Amino acid sequence: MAKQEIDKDNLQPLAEINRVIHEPARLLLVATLSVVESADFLFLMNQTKLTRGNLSSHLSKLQAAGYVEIKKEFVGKIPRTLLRLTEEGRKAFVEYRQKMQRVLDSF
Amino acid sequence: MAQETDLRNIEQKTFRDSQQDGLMELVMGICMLAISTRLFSRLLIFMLALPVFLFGPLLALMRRRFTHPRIGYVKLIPDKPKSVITGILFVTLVVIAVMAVVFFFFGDVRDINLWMRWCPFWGGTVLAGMFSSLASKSGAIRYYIFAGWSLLSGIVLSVLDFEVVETGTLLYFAVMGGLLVPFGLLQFVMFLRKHPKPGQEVLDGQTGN
Repeated sequence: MAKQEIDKDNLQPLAEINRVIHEPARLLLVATLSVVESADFLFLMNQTKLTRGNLSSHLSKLQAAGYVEIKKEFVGKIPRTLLRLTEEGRKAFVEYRQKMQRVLDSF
Repeated sequence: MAQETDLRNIEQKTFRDSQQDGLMELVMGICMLAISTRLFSRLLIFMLALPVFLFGPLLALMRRRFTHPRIGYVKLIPDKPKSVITGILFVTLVVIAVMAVVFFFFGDVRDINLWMRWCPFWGGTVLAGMFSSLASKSGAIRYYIFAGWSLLSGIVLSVLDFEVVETGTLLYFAVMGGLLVPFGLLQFVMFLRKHPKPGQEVLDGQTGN
């Protein structure tokens, strides 16, 4: 039983977990964007297997939080939505991982 | 640690997916065959330089035309040019040092023909290093096969004796191109079949903003 006791002092980071990133679909998006310089909408859709509407909505939330930069451009006559993680987004992701690690270590 | 591993998996999968079209192998193989047939020039420096300069733009052009409309566009985090150059220089220096020691004991270190004869070994080692790096980035086994093939053919074509000393080097490019072109072509055809061009509404990628 003693082994299963949770170190409550170390659970404080749990309350500080970044909820914008913590949502599974957004976490996958941020993790994918963290390993590339930039990607377009179609590539992210293929990688995450999210639907167009879902992906749009999660990207909008990440953009509103300042974690993702969305740029629309034309390649020839074809429109392209280019996405990249901002510096703020990268920092938030690193912090999120550190906090989650601490929380999981305490269990 | 588990998180690091998962991120590494995501990184490898992203890299693999961005290279699944086989175009890198195809274009690289075509460039190597062009070098081996001396398509661009008989002068060694132009013979090597032109395909190398053509490789990037040609690959980008084909990806824009065939790959991006199907699976989307991704720009991977590029390797630092300094570390790439350092890696190539390091491999080159090690190979030259090994060759110098071997020539000193078993030949004539001042014999320029001997150095020319062993060019495939040097090229094979550098390319094997490059393919090993791609294998580590992607986790794809095929790059290890290319690395092994490159090293093995480099050694074999250096050991064999040819009447004209540069034949070994030209054959090396032909052998590498001969592997990469069919492989790239097959991969490309499979890619086109697996990923038909999606409708315009997906290409637009409206984010609803």
